[in-house]
Amino acid sequence: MSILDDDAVVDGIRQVLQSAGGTDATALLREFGFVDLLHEDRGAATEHVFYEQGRLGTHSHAYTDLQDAVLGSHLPGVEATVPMSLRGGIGTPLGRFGNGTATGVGYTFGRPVQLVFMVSEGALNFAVSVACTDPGVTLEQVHGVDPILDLWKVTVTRAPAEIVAAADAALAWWLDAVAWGRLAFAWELVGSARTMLDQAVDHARNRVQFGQPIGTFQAVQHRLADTLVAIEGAHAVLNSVEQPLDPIATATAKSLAGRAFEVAAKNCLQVLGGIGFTTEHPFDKHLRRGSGLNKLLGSRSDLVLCLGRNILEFGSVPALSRLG
Amino acid sequence: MSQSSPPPPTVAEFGTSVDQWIAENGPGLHDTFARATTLADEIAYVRELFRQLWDAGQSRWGWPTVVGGYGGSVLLRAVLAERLALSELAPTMATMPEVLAAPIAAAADEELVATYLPRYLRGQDWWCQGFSEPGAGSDLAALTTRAVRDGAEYVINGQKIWTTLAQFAERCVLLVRTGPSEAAHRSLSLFLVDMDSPGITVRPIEATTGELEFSEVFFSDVRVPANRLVGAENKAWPIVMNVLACERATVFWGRVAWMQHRLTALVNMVPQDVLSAKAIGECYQLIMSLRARSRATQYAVASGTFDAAASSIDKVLMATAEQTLFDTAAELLGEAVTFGDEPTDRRLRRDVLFSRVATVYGGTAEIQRNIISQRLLGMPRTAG
Repeated sequence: MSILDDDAVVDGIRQVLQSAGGTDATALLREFGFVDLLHEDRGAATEHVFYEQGRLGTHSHAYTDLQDAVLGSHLPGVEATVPMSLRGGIGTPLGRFGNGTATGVGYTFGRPVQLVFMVSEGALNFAVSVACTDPGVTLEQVHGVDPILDLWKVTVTRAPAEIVAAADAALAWWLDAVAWGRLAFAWELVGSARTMLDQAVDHARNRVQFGQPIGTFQAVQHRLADTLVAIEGAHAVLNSVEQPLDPIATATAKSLAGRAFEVAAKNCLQVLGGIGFTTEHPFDKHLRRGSGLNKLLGSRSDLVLCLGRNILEFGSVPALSRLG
Repeated sequence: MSQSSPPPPTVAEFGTSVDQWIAENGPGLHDTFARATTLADEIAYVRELFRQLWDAGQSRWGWPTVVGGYGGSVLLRAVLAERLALSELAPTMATMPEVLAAPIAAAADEELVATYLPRYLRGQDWWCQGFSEPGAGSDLAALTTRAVRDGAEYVINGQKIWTTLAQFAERCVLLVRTGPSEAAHRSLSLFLVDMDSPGITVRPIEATTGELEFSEVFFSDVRVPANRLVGAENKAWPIVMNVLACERATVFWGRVAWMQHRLTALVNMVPQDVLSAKAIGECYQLIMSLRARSRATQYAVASGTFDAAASSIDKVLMATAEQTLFDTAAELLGEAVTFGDEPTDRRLRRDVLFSRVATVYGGTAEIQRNIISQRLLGMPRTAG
């Protein structure tokens, strides 16, 4: 029986995130005991924190704490930031290894000091640690569509790299890190999409034109319905993800969550009309946040391609969700 | 008191038992199925399939004892539907009892249920659903086929359309008006009618697929005993809603498995390139979202918390996934689908064509979206 089965704990998470307002909730979450919750029940902790974060449109470095937990369970003693790729791919290394040096490109939340990521040398995989002080490492602060994400682009060019794991151990950690990362973002994207839908539904009920709320028009109703369908489909897949995490399941979950975000962004902005297109409306921050989260670790379309390639290569369709 | 039936198997145990049954009996059934060239052949095959499944006990799990079932969770029926779909032993029409049997078993009196339900589930009788009319499709409550009480009988006059496989049916679940037209859905009644009753004429319609899938059914002074009324007079609407909801419950678990199966077949026919990868990935994610959603629905049905309005989401997911799958087939295998005459080509073409009406039957895409936005999102009623 997980502590996160307790509604009071889930409510507590929501309150902590709400009390942070528009500021970084990381410290408040840690005070609340997020790191302990990650050890107690990582799946539930990930679900509740990231979903609520998505709902509220708030930001934190909960992702970093999550990756620390994953790192701790595979490579204890290694303390470093795990850079994220923007591509799809399952088990794809972030870069190459050769002559004791690593080369690769990724993104991190916050300015990193030490990096750990998977590279390959031919068919061999290695998990390597790289110090950001090395001249071969370039750090670039990224603003992009959502400056609040505090993203940094990390370019590693033949920087000295210490091997912290090799072959199966390296791959097992990397698969798990990317799977948990995709799962977290998927929860956040679905939470955000639901809030966008709430905003559009509220507007449709209250905005009166031609003598009636615009929500009486079928065209408006159907956009909202399509949005709910996309969200519920994605949410159902998230609810069915089992542990240990399967890379196909989490890639599918993030792909669908990205799709729910895209459908919501398109339909909800359409329903909101002009006011949805200003920074004065809370829809704006959800649109920006979701755009960023959609792209990190592979967007909807990146992952669709990845899944399709995987299916064609193996000639079979992986079945997720069994009965019983 | 209770019959001496064994305790119900778990879902996992039952899956194993069904797989075993299929391994033993599948080859023989496949041979019969492969020889079926006409719809009549297919119906005969399905009756035989039902007979074998019933007599072996496999299809009796999950049904209440009053219909001849062994009891146990409705999830067991979902498991059977899935395994049959994956093994290619069950054409789509084999899922029809899941739509009609349960609502009728729940609403009709025990004598009617005990007499006719076991015959249906065992394949001795085929049933058809007489709901839609030329003037009443999406607006079903506007139907005009009328039943007038005359002594111990009702006399029925009117016409139904889109009645699937009526030409092979022994029974019809017939929705008629028994009260004032102005009362709309509150003056409708449901009857279990014998299709060999004098006055019934069945005129099959050739669908765009080239098959005689559905029919017009004409009723001219058809006399039906009053004891064939299902539930109370003028109180059929909740039963109708139950039937429509059942179309999206257990049936869908089998249909999802069928789609996975068709996707697997497609994967092994398409060119190995990026265009295929994108399209296949798209199909996969949509089918998986439908599967996850339908899985939750199966559990809701099993625990008695099934919400008919919410099942409209399942329906939209289903139609979208099906059309995307067959759009993909048409795109990637264009020559075969459009101009091919091999059996696999014709089968694929049939599925591509039929997927065009996935957004029409069982409640149109527009009606589903109305239900979703009005009942689930609280939008006001529109004019339609």
